[in-house]
Amino acid sequence: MLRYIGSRVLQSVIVVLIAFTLTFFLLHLAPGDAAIARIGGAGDGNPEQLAALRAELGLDRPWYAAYATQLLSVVTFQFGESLRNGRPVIDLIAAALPNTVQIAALSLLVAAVLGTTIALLATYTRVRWVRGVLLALPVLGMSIPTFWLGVLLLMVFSFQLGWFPSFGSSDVRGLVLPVATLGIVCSAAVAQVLATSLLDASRSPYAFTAMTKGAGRWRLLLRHCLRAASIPVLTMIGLLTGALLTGAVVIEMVFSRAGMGREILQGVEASDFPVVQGIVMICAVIFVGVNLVVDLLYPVLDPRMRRAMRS
Amino acid sequence: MAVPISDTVRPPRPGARLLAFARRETVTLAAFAFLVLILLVTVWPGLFAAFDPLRANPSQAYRPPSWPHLLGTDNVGRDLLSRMVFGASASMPAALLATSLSLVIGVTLGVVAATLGRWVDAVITRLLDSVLAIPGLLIVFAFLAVLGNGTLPIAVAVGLAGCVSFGRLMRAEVYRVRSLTYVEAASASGVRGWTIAWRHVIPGAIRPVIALTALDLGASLLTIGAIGYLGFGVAPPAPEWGAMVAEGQRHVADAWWMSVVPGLTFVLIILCANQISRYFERGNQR
Amino acid sequence: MSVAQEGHPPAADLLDTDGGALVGVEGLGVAYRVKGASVDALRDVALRVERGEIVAIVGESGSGKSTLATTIVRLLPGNGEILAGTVGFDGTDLARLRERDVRELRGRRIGFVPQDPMTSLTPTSRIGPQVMETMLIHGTHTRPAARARAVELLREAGLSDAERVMQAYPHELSGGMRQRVLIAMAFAGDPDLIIADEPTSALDVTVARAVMDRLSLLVREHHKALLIITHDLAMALRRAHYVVVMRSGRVVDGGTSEQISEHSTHPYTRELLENSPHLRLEHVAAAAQTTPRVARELFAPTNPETLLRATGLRKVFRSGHGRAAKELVAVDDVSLAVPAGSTYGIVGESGSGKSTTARMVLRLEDATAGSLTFRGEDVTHAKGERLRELRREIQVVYQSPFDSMNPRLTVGAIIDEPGRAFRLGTARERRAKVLSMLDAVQLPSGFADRRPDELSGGQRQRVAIARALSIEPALVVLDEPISALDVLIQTQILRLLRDLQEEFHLSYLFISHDLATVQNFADYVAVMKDGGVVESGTPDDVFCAPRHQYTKDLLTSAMHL
Repeated sequence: MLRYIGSRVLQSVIVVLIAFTLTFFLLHLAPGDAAIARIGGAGDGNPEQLAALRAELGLDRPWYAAYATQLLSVVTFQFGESLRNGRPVIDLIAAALPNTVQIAALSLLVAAVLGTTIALLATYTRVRWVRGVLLALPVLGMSIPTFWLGVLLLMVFSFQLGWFPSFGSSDVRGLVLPVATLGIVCSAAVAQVLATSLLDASRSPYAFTAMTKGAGRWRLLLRHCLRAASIPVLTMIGLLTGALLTGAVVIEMVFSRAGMGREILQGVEASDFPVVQGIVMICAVIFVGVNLVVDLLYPVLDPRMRRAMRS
Repeated sequence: MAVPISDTVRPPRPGARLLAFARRETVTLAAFAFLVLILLVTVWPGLFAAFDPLRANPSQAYRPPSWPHLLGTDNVGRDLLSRMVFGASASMPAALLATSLSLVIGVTLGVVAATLGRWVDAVITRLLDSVLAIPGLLIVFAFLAVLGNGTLPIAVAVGLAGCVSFGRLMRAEVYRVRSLTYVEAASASGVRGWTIAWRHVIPGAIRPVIALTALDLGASLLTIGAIGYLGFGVAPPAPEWGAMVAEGQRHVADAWWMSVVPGLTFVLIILCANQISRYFERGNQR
Repeated sequence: MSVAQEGHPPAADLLDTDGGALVGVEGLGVAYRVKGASVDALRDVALRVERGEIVAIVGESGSGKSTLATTIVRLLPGNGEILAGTVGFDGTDLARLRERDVRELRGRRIGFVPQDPMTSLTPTSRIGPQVMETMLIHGTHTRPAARARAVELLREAGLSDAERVMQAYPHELSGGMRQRVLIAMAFAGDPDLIIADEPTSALDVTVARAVMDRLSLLVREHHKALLIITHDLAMALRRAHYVVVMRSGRVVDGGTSEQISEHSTHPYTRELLENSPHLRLEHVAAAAQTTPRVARELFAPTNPETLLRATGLRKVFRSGHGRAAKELVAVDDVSLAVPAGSTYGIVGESGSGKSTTARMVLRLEDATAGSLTFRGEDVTHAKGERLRELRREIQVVYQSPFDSMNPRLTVGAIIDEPGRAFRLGTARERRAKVLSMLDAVQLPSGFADRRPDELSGGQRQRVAIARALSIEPALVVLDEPISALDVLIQTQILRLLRDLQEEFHLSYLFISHDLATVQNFADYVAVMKDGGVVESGTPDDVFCAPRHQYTKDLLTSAMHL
């Protein structure tokens, strides 16, 4: 068991390392000079100042030295300073991250609950048209752009009905629409995967056995099918982390909320590499972390995997 | 439970088969037809647009969908339908390029990983995992930060991000098909490696790949739309669907159709792509 | 052969049939909706089971026997429906009941032992709750009482370590143990009727016998009625009071075991009796003489060359790496010699290593140790072109008629494939060869343009044989070639193989778990257990005068299943 955990952790670390390397090389392809970008193209930076700035930013060293230095600093969570305003990137992220994670986490909750409910109802019902409608919902949900749904919900619930605020806002009411939007879109994936595996499980030989004992439909689904069917859903949730993070970024822009979305967009527009790299790395770490937890949860759900790990 | 067929049963005529197919798969065919239409619109916008998408006409501003502006006008009086039609060429080619890139790179990586195995497989899998760990939109942002704004960097970025799913799928499929009994039987019959790959392995793996291609097209379009919404991509006043949604958001009170129409188009296109994907997923046999 | 022997219940043991039969099926018609069309599964079926009686329903695939079983408990799949007739159970017509009311009967009044023990238990649940479930659903026991009863039931089913089994997960138990769990589960509600659907087909013969003995014992002790669904007529005649024969959805024959075995005049029943492998085994043992193989002796040369010789073959599978590596010795020191023109049979239960041995002969697996010579040449590590040349001489027929063929290719392309691979002749010559092969396996030439899924199992296996023979190999390895087929088809295919052997001067390496088939078909037999050969010799030596205890056990189990 310990071997399994150890090997998964090691793999996760390697993945993050490679992700860092990829972003490093990408950002080093940059045409143009970051030092000039920092000064803002104001034009009157004298050559000495420029040279000093370059040395400070480490732009005058060969790439492998820069790689090593950056790697060390990233490992210690020092992402350097923003080229735009000189603030430490880590501070920027620390301020913005909680907002984004808040939306992502709440949306995940909504997605899980909503998706599971739809999938369970769709499998439970014997009425064909009800099942058809319920299964069509996820299909629709996966085709809706997140940003558009946000705008739609804004239109109806904020402008027309005035129930919720339309931008900014740090209280709970301001969270409802953003979380609802992202939650609905992500629930589609959960619902579809769960519905398919529940359907398969309900047609399996062991489901038949349960029915020969007199089990009713709810008992069959909840006691026998759900646990086995949840495994692919767990995988899906791990993968969904990426969509949740990017979704949260987009949603922040739709609803004009503070968070990593604003930071990274500003960073992109100003070619502020440290900020962009910092945010990318944090998201990668979160993704890898969540998937690591998912991998560790598999044996909890599926007893067959426990034996495979016990060696 | 195969029923033995007697010698006197004749196979059905080809025409009858086609008709039965059409009746069974009407939805899929309709989806396909719609996508062909979109492709035509992308290639020949002039054929479908009645107005100049860039011509502002303030006196006609904020017209709801009506004649002659079938989809209404925007805040400066531009015909929305024409803008939609010309907007196709901002998003669709980029999505197609992105998906093609994902397909080629992903399939190659997957096949190489599964064929060469062991450490090559391990390296490629870690590589794919790393790309997966970086959310697609952020990859696009990184590209934009480095290369500046433009449709090409966006398409390439989306393509690179998307190759992970193709890579994983192809790798899994090659492993799966290679372990099928009839592939081993072919080898035991003396068939050479390349022939086995061509005749047995590839046809077995091709359906899921096609299904994923359709799915990925929808996903690419969504990402490109989101990027457009956020203000990247083609510069205004050139029409771009995502940007149009953003613009419409500013005028929601006066012209709700400005946001709804482009969004609906996304939904329709992606629904059709998903439908086609599901058709191939179901593995329809003759 | 009467049932009244060896502790089987004599007819007098049956309970009074005073209140009418327990199960009374009349005029039952059931159909499935497949792709819009309605396919009949049962036609005008009648069945009676008295209290305490053991009734067996015997039929081949497609006979409708499993459909009958699932109809009685009203668990037809979604596309199945009852068209006509009554399913009487203790006075109530189950066909007309509401689902809610039928559910109350399931488990409580009718127990069901499902088909495949490997997939019929919920993998994410421990055994204990699964056995207790019936009692909890129907409220017959409180939770602690149910738990105690479950342990009791598992013990009665033959699981001595019942407490540990209660805590175990299904994947931690063997096939035989899982079947016993399923039996315990069926008895949990104390039902009047137990339905057992193919209770032995997934098990090795020694385990199957033990399981059936236990089931019969329990049924007798608790005075239950038992309805056995099986394709094995021999087993049915041995275990049941009354046997019903089904074919193509209809009941074609029925009677007590004695009536069926001694006096039946129905041609289908007679055919089943004559072709039932285990019955033949008994005749062999009883008469202590072999089935005449006169025609074949004429062809066997007096001093045949040894075509294939294996010496000390050993195969070790290693999984994992480093310290956690696990080793599995699948084959340990196996030696055999196949003379040209003969049939060498390897018989063994699952896990005996017989298939792995066959795969090593085919060079689909590398031998970890030992040597393999073909026509005197050492081919143990043959690779590349040398291996391909070897493949011309050694071909294979797989067990599964469907999996071994690419479903997208036509039959003609499938048969042609080896010839194409070796570039034998022009396209036209090969086409003629395909047609002649179809002829040799007695399939019409029109089949060349069909696809595998348009053929029946037996027809597909003929195609597999045609493919293997198309390049005229010297040795054909047959890995359980008839195990997946119905009994009557099995006989046909064996006859075909026999004829082809004479026509093409072939040698066979025949792998099977079925003793009776090997006894009748092979010239030499090797019995394998746990990776090694425990006994070998001519069929007479091995089956009529076995020396090793394991062989003796196998024989007795097969004869008393």
